[in-house]
This record gives sequence, structure tokens and C-alpha cells, in this order.
Amino acid sequence: MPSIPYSKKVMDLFLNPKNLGEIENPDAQATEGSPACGDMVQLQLKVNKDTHVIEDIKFKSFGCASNIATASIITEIAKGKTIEEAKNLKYSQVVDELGGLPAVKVHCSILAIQSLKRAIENYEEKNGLVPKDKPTDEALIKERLRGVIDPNTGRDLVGSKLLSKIDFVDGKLTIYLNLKDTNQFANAIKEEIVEKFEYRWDVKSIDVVFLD
Amino acid sequence: MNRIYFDNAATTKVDDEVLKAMIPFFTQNYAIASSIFSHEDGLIAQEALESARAFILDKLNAKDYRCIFTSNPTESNNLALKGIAFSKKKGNIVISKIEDLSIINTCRFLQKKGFEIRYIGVNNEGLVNLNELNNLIDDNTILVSIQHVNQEIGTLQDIISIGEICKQKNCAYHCDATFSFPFFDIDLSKYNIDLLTIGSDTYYGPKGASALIAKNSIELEPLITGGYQEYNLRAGTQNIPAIVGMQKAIEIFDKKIYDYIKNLKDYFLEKINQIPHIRINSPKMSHPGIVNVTFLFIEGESLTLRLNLRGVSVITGSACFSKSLEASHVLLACGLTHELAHGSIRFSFGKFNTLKEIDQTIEYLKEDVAFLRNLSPLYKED
Repeated sequence: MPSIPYSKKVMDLFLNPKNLGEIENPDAQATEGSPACGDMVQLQLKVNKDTHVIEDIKFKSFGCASNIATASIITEIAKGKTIEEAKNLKYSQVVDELGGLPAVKVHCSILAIQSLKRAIENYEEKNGLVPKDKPTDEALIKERLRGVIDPNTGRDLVGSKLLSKIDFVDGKLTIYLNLKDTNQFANAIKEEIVEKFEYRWDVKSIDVVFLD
Repeated sequence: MNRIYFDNAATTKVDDEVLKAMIPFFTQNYAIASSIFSHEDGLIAQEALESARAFILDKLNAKDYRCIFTSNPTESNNLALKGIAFSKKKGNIVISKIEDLSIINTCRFLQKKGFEIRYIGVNNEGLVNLNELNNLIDDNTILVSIQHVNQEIGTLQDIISIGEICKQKNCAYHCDATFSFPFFDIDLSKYNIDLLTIGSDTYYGPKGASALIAKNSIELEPLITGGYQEYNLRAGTQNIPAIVGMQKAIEIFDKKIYDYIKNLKDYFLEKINQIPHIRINSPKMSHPGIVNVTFLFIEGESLTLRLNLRGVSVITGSACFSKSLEASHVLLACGLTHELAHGSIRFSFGKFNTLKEIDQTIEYLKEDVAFLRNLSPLYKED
């Protein structure tokens, strides 16, 4: 019988998710994605005030099987870690823990990571631990582009060398990609890039140029 | 495990009688169709091909038309659109927003080649606005292409009125009838249709056969060049076993099949009400076997995967390939929100399905929908 393109681990968590539900009086929470995108994750945390260790974490999810599985696994990975440790988790670790994800589904792991980071930010804001906002520079732009997945390959724009050039002059941001504008996912990638920078205080306009 | 196949709008099982008619053309009469000056084997093939052509033209009451055999409806649609466009060289094409991708992406291609594409909107049932059509056609319109039955929600367009408008405006009309023929009668002596696409594998015929029925007066440029087959409009060896199968599938299709499938759909529509928070996206006037349903608060791909594990084959209008990829263009054009489009499932019934299979599926749905709603941050218990 031909098999579904998901690992055994993904299917196990899809059918029997761990840490499902809500926490009463959570110390922090975040909801990332939106039902309009067909992808949404809600995370709630209980954090030890003295040690900053995540003592409990629960999720709810609206999305496909890999969305449910990535949300479930991130609760297992984060539980017992300090918020500093949890902040440094990479999407590739999530993908590895799941025994791999199909290329077009890797973006789900980004959403899970984002949800966790946002929940931690929520905790830091509530507890006066927020770092000051830095101006946009090439390092920050690249960092954010590492959070955009090319569904053709399942790799982020920087790692996959899809990113050709970055121009950031007088608040005008232009991203050049080594991709044809006729690619099935060109528009989706563009929208995601815009989403990453549209609320940056020092970015006035965003343009994505498809080369080739 | 016996699977429950509710994806008959995608393709159907080949009827045994159809298969029986095809087999001799693989094993005995396998020659290619050829002219009277070649050999006996080629003539047998030629006769089968021409008799299928005559049968189909007669079935559609198509007196001044050619029946151009192609490999599938996508190719027929390409031949209609590109064939006219390349022949006319410039102008605009009018299509509805809910056409099949074989129309929509072919129009995008033609747009890049310099043709203007005009899109007509639809109402919440998927019906095109005839006033808008009337206004969109002008002297530069070379073709209107509006389907008969929609592939996702089953909407049945008023192709008689559409044909009338095109005739008044003196512009060619192409109708993609892939999902309607032979479920609905099409009489080309009465309807003003210049080009008609029909398939084979959605009514128990084989894959590999389709036809573009084209009025003699319509000039087309061929897309495939080579030999002199199919009125010099489609070069290449004809797929005679498939064409013979297509003819047989049309011959044995009757009103009883329509009624049987319609009864399955009505039964399903009655039973599905046992599940709360649903929205039926298919209008009353629609294909007898197509039902599109949105299960609120959940995403379609999760539900189809759970049903698949139970042995039920259905498809969803949600495509979770990337964070911002659009949901079904058909449902969005009908005014559904992205959220509702993402939770949509198409059930399409066929003559090999049973009421028992529907009962079983409803039981699976009750459990799987409840499980996924329990997971969903959007769902709050009543």
C-alpha cells in the first residue's frame, strides 16, 4: 500500500496529540497564524517565576496533520526548559524530532517556533524583561528571512540560497530572489516576506523582485 | 479493507462492459487507424474510430461540427482556447472566476502572450451574472468560455442563456462540459455553443479519451503538429481503445444512473444534518453526485487524512502548502471566507456507491469532526 507522506512520529502525534488543551490561569500565551491562512496554533505556558523554567505548556491547533504534530512536539521539547533555552530552538530541531516533514509542510514548524517565541515574549512583557527594539539591519533581515520557507524545497530562503540580494536604503527594503515569478509558490513567498517586515517601525516599503 | 470511494468527480471506476469493449483493441485490432490505401488491420481501427466520432456527434445532435479526439479534457480546453487565440492573434477572452485550472491557467498563459482576459464574477451559488457577461463582451472578444457544471461545488450554469448572449454579440462560445456530460442533455442544434469539451473518465469510461466538439466554421490553430490525424488539428496516433471505451460509456449511460446517484446525494444531505455547525456549499441546482460541505472550526486536510485512514476517499478545497497559499478559488469566488473555504470537503458519489457506505461515513464524520473540534482553538462548546 502506498503510504501517506508523513513519518510515523507525525502520524502518532496527529492521532494522539500530547499536551492538548488549555491551562487555567496561564502565565503567558500566544496565538499565531490565522484561520484565514488555514494554519493556527495557540500555546499557553506556566513558568516558574524564580528559575524561568517552563513547567507546563498546552496547545490547541487549527490546521493540517503536520500543524497538529509540530504544535504537539514543541510542547514536549519546551517543557522543562528555561525560557532562554526555549527561545533558541530552531525549526530544524522540530523537523528532526518529527523524523522529517514533507518540503511543502516545513512552514508548519516555523509557525510552532513562532508561537513559542511569541508566548515567551508575552511572558517577558508581563514580567518587565523586554529587550529594547533594535533598528533594522542586514543581520535582522536575514534572521527573519530564515523564518520564511520555500515550499518547493522545504528550506528557508537563506539556507536554500534562494535569497540573492538585500537592499535597505532610506526605509525602502528590496529583496531579490533567485526564483521565477511563474513559480507555483512565488506569490505565497512574497506575501510571507511582506508579513515579516510590514510592522517594523523603520521599514517604509517592501518590494520582492523575482530574478531569472 | 474495502475502501469507500467518494471522489467520483475526479474520476470513476471503468464499467466492466466498457472494459470488455476496449480489450479487443489492445489484443486483436491493435493497428493504428489508417487510410483506405493501407491494410485491412488499419481499416478495422479506422472504422471503430470513425463510428465513435459519428456516434458522439449524433448524440449531441451536432450537424455542422467536428469531433476532435484528444487525450483528456485539459487538452481539449487548451485546444479550444489557444486554438482560437493563435488563430485570431489578438483580442480578449471572457471566462468565469470558477473555471477549472485547465481554463484559468491557460488564460494566464495567453495573458502573458498579449491577450486580455476578462473575468466574470459569480453569486454565492456559483452562477455567473448574465448582465455582467453582456457588458464584458465587446467587438474585440474572440471567445467566451464558461463551464456547464462546476468541478468543486457542482453548480449548473444556464448555458442556453449564455449561448444566446454570445450569439447576439457575435462571439464564439466554448463550454467545458467535462463534469456535466452525459448527466445533462446537450443539444447542439438548439444551444448556441461553438466549442464543447467532453470527457470520458467521470462517467465510467476510461482515462485517455476526450473530445473537443467544434463548429465547422470555427478556425483553430493546432497545438500538436505531425501527421494528418483529427482534421489536421491534433497530430498523433489516436488512442482507439480509450475512444471505443468512451463511446461504450456514453451508450450505456442512462437516466437510471442519474436517479440512483441523485438519491445517494439526497440521502447524504439528509444524514449530514446530524453534525452541527456545517455549511452546504453546493446549490440546489447542481450535479446529482457532487456535495461540497464546510465543517466549521476545522481544517479540511486534517479531516480528509483521518477519513483516509478509515478507508474513505474524499478531497478538500484547502491547500496547506505554505502559510499564505490561497484556498479553493471556486469557494472564494462564491464569497466564502478563507476560513470557511479551508474547512470544505467535496463528496462525489457514483453508481458503484451504496447507502450503507454513506451511513458508515456519517458515523466516521461524527467522531472525526468532534475530535478535530476539540483540538481547535476556534471552537467553543455550546
